[in-house]
Amino acid sequence: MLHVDEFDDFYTSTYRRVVGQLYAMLGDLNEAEDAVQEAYCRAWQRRTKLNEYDSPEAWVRTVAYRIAVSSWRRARNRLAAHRRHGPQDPVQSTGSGHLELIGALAGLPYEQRRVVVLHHLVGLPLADICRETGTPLGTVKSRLARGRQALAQHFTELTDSADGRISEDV
Amino acid sequence: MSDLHRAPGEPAPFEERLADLAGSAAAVARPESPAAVRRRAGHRTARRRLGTGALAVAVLGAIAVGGAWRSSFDDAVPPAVTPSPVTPPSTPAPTTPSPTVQSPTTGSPEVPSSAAGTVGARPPGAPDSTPGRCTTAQLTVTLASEDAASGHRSVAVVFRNSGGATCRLTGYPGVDALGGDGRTLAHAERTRRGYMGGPAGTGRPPTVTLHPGRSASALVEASGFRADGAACKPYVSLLITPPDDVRSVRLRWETDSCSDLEVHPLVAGTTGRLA
Repeated sequence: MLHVDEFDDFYTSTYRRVVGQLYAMLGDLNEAEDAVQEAYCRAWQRRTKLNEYDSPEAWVRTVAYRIAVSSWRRARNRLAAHRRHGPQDPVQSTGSGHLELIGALAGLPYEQRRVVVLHHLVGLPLADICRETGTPLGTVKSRLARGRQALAQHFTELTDSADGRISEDV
Repeated sequence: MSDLHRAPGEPAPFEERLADLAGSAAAVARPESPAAVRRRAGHRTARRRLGTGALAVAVLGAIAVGGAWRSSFDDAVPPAVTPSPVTPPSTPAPTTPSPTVQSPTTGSPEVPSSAAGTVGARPPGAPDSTPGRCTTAQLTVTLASEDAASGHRSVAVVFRNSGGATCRLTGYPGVDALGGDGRTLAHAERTRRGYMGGPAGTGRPPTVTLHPGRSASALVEASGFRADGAACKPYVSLLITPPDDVRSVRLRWETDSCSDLEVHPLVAGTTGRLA
């Protein structure tokens, strides 16, 4: 059972980080915040079970991503979001190449993008990405490889030296 | 591990930019209050399954029985660094007091300054109904519970009462970051909360009473990149001054962080977070 204080601490200490990660996956801050907010609601609803998860933060991130994707698939009603948040400032471009990065990420299919973000932003090893996405290792590897390949035209460091192989850092 | 195609020491433009981008989004995010999230979750639960009365009972029950279970939230990321003992508490390196430590706003006005001298002299086991504040001489200071996320780094500064008497600590320790040549690179800004954590709530930070052998800790955080894109010159060590004290200890911090140094208020325990 998750005590109120524990939930509040968990929420306040992880919320912004998860929003940043979801934004990197989705490319839309309003959508990211809505999905993350909803995921924390669900976390509170299942507070009796939350301690059974290895990482509640990963649970929230996974649920938020599913919420966002299912809302893509549904016809979306964004009015609720606007009522709740009002118009929002766009993410500030601090001149360190945000626009180029946003454009490069936007060119990726969303499952590739998710894997790239989980690996390069969240810092998860491949095994954890398999668990979080519910995808077999081979699929995760090929998504990561394709994502990196597409990004390599913008970021040469991502060019894989050995013809597209992803190193085994499971 | 996360970027395998990088020579050691070389910057990683992609990961850095990705972290920077996510950090910018996180910075403009507008979280509802946790209470509002719980309320919204509760309303839906009520409609769906329980009915309002039952929900109220459930929530009150949760409040009543909560606390027995401690989540693994704070343990989700195991400490990457084992605490390493530093300067023996009896011989703290006397250093120039950091200017940020003198701030009267975080002081303990109710404790007369003379109390500090008598605390260490109190025999072990003596009654200490009004423990004095902890001084550097009574404390063993270490770094622990290192953590990192999205370009941000944190480490807990742990103050263990290694003396024989109970004492107390309130507020923020002074934290300066030093470079390899020992020069000060940054004074930590005192903030209630930051990207990596810090206690919830507002108002005056709580006072932590430290019985002999117990610890209090404060979360220190910094960024592994600079918002202006300038080269990142990593901190090499931290100069720590306990709250309301003038003597400091220097601790080595193996980090790649170089900007936005912050320190959050002391809390009980060794993680810098409320357990």
